[in-house]
Amino acid sequence: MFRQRIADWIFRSRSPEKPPVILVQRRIFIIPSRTGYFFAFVLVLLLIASINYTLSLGFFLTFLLAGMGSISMLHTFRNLAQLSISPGKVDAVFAGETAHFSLVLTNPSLPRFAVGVKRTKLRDAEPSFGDVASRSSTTFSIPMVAEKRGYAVCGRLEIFTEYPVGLFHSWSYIDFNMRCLTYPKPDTAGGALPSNARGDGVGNIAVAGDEEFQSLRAYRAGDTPRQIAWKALAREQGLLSKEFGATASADFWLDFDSDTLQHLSHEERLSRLTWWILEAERRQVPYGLKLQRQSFQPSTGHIHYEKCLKGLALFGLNLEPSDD
Amino acid sequence: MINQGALTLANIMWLLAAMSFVIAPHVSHLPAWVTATCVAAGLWRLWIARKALRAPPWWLMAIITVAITVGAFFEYKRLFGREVGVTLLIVMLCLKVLEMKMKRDVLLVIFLGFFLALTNFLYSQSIFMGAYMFGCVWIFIATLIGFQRINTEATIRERVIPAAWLMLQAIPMMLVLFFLFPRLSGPLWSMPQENQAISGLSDSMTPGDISSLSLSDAIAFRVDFESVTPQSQELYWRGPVLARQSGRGWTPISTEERSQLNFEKRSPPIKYRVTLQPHNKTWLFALDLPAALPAEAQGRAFFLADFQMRSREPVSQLIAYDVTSYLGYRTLDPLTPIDRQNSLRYNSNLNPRTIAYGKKLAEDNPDPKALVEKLFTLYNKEFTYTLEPPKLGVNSMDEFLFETKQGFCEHYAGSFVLILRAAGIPARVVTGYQGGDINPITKQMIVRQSDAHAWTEVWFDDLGWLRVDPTSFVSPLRINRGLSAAVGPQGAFNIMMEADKLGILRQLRYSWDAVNSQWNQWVVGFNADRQRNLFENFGIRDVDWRSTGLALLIGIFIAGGVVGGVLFWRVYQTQKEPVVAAYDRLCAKLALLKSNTGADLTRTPEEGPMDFLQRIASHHPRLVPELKPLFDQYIALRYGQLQEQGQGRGQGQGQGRAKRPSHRRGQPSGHADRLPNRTAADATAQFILGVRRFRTSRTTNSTAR
Repeated sequence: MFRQRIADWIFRSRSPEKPPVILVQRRIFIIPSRTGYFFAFVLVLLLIASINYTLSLGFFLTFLLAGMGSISMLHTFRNLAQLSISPGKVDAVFAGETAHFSLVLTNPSLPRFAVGVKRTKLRDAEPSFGDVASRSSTTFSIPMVAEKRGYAVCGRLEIFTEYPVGLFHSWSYIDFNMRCLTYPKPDTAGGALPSNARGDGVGNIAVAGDEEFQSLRAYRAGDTPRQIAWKALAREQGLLSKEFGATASADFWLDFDSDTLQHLSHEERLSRLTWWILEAERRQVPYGLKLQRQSFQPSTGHIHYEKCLKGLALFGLNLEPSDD
Repeated sequence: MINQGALTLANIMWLLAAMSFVIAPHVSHLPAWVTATCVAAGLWRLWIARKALRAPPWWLMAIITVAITVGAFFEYKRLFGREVGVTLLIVMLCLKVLEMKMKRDVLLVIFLGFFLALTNFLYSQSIFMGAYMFGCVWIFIATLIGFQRINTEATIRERVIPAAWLMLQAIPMMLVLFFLFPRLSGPLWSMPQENQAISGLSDSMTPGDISSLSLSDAIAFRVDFESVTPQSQELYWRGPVLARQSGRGWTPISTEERSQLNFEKRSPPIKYRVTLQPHNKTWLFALDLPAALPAEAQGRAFFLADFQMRSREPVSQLIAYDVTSYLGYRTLDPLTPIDRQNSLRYNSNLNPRTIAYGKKLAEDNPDPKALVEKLFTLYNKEFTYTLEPPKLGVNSMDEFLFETKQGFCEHYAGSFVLILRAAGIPARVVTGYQGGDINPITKQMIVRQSDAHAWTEVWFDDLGWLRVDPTSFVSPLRINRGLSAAVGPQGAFNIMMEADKLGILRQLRYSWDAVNSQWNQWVVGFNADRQRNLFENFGIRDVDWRSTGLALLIGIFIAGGVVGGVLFWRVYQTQKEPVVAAYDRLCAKLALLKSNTGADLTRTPEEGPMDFLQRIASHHPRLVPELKPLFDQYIALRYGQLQEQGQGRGQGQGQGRAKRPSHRRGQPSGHADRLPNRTAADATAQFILGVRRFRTSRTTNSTAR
């Protein structure tokens, strides 16, 4: 599309941008919408009828509507102008799930209505719409299916509006280089945790007793609420975490290069490992992860879990150093 | 498309309301079944919207459409033309409303709704209609705004107020376009004329025709006299001339066209401008006798040999023309044998007594002037002038002249001509208007339908055609003072006016008429001629499309620029809360201070109020007693319990996710926290006042001491 090409040219070396971006005059484009062209056609009909029947009030009506239409251009423009835009938080997802990018629009002045945000990469992307009340902000959520592990890139976003009368389409582009960490798709058919994750013949790790309470230790960041000794907390003994029987017996390692995974492809192994991490985390079995040169010491808890999954997500991918 | 369709109940109701308002004025001339269909379609649509039902199936819509088209054909006997076109547009639009499914359909309905508003002007271009349609357009735009909202429902304020602003901001551009857009002087293509009957003179006269008009207050035309306003008895506005007696009445005969009337001018010229209301006939009224065709007519007007001025096309819209008349004249054309024959012919089978009387009168009075004199005495002595004469039979003139002796102007004119013809004197009936009423506010003469009149013209060999008004023999008051003076007030309104001794009603009526006259002049009658006059008033002669185009562009630029400027200015005004604005002012005042150490006391962007105060205190300890309470107030207002309502609200709504369905509607509690918090307001006012009172100069002096 012509519009697309103009915008491509104007934004050719700009992205990514530093938030917050304020939609100033030169960032906002405006052209008549299809409705606008239809309206113009109706105006021509009104004008012809007025001329032909010499209807003075018809001229008034025609010109009132023509004036209204042209003034609406300013109103549509104004519905975007001076909005301040910054990226919102994005939660990591598993491949195949929908990532929700978010964009925060802050309005310093008059209320804005029916503002839409959509990705420009997809032709028929379903936009998300919202209003931004005066001196407040609204978070727009932009859904996108994360197909592969790694980073799902949101790409350039179009912020657009046709409010108040729909005769003009006003839009602006913005690119914060938003990306969503995508974990490998868990291999749900991966079955239970391997009895010998290491593949060295030691098969007696007592994972069966994993629910058995062993001892209390000081709370570490990343411990799940399930691990917290609520009773101890109630007795005012401070924040303690429970340690379970199984963790004490042996370190439990998940290894990318283990023999049990030899028959699987690269990606299948990552999927299988992801599934096992989910399983281990669910059952509170401390686990370690070896990804060739990278290794994560056995532990449990949210932070450990996210670290491992991120390792899996980015394993072997050539990425520019991330800032997070 | 559910989130974008916006075919919610409220939106549908707005659309139906807008449609009802715009169709309402049409109802009076729509067939009843069409109105019924429209109402049914609207109610059905409302029901669909309420119960979230499906639209009627396409085949049912097709059947209804065909049925209506056939019905319209039987009603109007055609499918093309103005009346049937308007009817079909209305009913089809109602059906479209019934079956619309998407936003696109809605837009179509709204835009064609604007067209429907325009069709109302085909029937009336009065001030009321203009104002009413302005209101209709307002509702339509409000409806359109509602449909543009996505996911959230617009409140009434959010529809009506932006719509009003849009329209108000469009007005400058509308006026520029209205006055400067190049106007054509004729239609693009001629449309078949479907003339509605407008009450007024007709081209035949039977007793009772004109007396029925005398009840009508409707305005026939308005006249602006350039300098002298003639006396009432001189104001004979010539309309159709009726030279043939047919049945009980009189009809015109065709005469030849003229471009000039041949007469001797015997009085100073009277110049005036006639603004003629549309009457759908070709008569152009002028005082006897006009010197030349109006310059504006440009071949579209002509004279007839019997001194009538005519237009080639029926006058279907308001027109204005300048005429110069000579009230004293002597016609110079000889009476041709055919004219003589036409002016002497009468039906000898009817009214035998009248004819016999005429013949006897001719024997007794060989001099035509003496004969007319004789008739004057007869009418003056024995007849009465009344609006409600007794009913007359077949030999109506006989009955009138010899039995009832009561009649209106048409009786006098008719009987007079018949007697003269029987006596061998050529004569004919002339109809038109006599007199007129001066509006003291505009100094404009108003000629109403009630001024309709019939008089006669008599041929004298030495004088030519001479006007003789037999009504003046009977009731000189009618001619000198007007109809109500002669027969008393007619119609409820006039009777009320008569009772209104202080003249308040009369004053109101004249004022209203003055307004209407201006409306006619500047709005309804604004055409190519008036546009040229407007340009000439600004000193632009020889108007061509280039100067009009230039003026139009400049006008649009100015109109759009002013409105646009205001709009831009408003969006770039980030509305600071009063407290923040006042604090900024305070900091600006403090920034002007130069400390002894030469340190800059401008507040840095990240500096909080407490830190800032501490820094000031370290340089200007004497300022602290005055500043401390101000800073405390600011901290309390900004961060403490007395938080300003605007701030609190803004943050409350900030968490709203875009996808949340219509959170505006489910927020009745929103009103509660919008209520002004009295303590906060007081504290804010106090703080602002404190900042205003704070003077750096005074305190600087005190520090110097």
